[in-house]
Amino acid sequence: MNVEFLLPEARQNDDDVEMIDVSDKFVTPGETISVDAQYMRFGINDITISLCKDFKHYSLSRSHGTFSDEKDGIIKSSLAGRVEIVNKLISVRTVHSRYNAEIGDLIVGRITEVAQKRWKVDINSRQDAVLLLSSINLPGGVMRRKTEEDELQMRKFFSDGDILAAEVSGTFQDGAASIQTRSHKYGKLRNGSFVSVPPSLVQRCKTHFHVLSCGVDVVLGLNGYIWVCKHTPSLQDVDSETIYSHKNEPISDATRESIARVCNCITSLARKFKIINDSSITLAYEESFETQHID
Amino acid sequence: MDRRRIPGPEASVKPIIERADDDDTLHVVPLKTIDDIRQDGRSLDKIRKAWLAPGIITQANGSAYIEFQGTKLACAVYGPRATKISAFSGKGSLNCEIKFAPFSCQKRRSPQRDPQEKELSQLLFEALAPAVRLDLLPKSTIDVFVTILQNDGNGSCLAASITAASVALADAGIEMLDQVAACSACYIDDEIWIDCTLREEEHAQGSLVLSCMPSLNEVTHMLQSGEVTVSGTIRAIEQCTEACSKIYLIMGNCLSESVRRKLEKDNALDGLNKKEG
Repeated sequence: MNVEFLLPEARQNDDDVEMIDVSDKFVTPGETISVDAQYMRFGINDITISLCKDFKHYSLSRSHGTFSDEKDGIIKSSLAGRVEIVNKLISVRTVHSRYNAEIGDLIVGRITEVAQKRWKVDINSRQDAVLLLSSINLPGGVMRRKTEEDELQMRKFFSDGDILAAEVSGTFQDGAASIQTRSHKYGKLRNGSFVSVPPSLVQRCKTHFHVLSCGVDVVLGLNGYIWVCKHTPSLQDVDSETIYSHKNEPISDATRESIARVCNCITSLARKFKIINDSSITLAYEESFETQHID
Repeated sequence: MDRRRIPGPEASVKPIIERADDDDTLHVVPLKTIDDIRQDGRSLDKIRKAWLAPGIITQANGSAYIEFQGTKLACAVYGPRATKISAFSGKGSLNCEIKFAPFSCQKRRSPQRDPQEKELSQLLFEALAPAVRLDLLPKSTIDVFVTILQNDGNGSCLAASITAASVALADAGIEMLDQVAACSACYIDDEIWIDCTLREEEHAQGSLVLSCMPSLNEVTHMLQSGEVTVSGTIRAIEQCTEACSKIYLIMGNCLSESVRRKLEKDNALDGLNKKEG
């Protein structure tokens, strides 16, 4: 029997291993993030890619911005953005990606299509969101069941182009989301104006319905869609018929001006790439009176 | 009104066209000097001065503007958005469209889509598709629109389109394996000229457009025309790859710079952190 012995090697001290801090680094697609094997990536699935008859095997993660070559295990970026490390988990976050729906998010959307028992809603995501007829509050009591009659008059509740506030109730594999408006807080939006900003600027907060001191309501959708409207005292005691009304209430000139001013403030905040929340909007609103009018 | 008649003014004056003094001598001026310096002062293996800026079109999800001196174009990326056709597809689709602006060439281009634009659009798709992670975007479509504002070299237009489109895709936050850099070359009198101008192209016996992913060391697309020797092609590929890695550096720098500028402008960085928590 042959037994092989190896001489003891000089063991590398753990303290000598240089830990390279890669967090907060700015990367572009194809750039190496780390050669360190200690890091892990999100939900990995392997694929083989053929390029010019030469088959290469890559291990790819699902939309967290990283991939690695099977042979050397070098982690590379697949997005342009900032590296984020949570414990040993690496991901890349972009500034300009489309909205990725997460359960519980408040969103503002626009109806694009009325289909069988459902609405398609544009929420600035990769796919249109789905709003089922069964996941809206039907007029005439919360506990009312949907009937065939409701199915036939779906356009009475929401028709193409209507804007609504809703909550994400689930997500699908293809990036689509299902949303619901089964609360008096959500539902059709009116009496106001619509603004769109990059989704990454809207922070996740306790509440996304704000009443500004200037008497204007703001609904900050996490998908970057924002609704600025006239202040409505409380939605709870509004009768069921007016929930789905198409008609705007009379709005005074002063309110119209403040709505327009708040909209412009939000647009200019977005242009300067500043975080958008109730305090930043209020600050910008107050500041806007200081600036000179240029005609 | 009689539409068949040209409603011009009754009296017309012939336009005065000043002939340039060196009009005849223009053809005599050689393309390069004896020590291989081209008319614009660069050697045969150098690319023109490049300028690249991502995020110039605010309505688009991602965009880029690129300039190789005379060649100027803008690229806009829309999407990924839901495909309108109901047929299911597990992979996302990539729509590419290259358009010459009417004023971009020496002769006016008609606003209608012509065969050359169709061909270039197809080539752009072929060059980009291997890099984009379309497998992650089922039922979605990405639209890439390139508008050529000034054409100084047909090969360089395609190469610049590929480069700009890849930057615009990265700007839109679309996942890619690597950025695609592209470079053109011409074969003139058994020599290889990198990144030729329109005038140099007139003298070319053949041309090559190579697009590659430098950090993965992969070629995504190659287009060759004309009668060339094998050794000439190999040499051209090598030189193009070299030029591509230079272009890749410019792409990477300007992209990470634009991301940094955006994030470090104010508290946006803190905001992203808070969003995590």
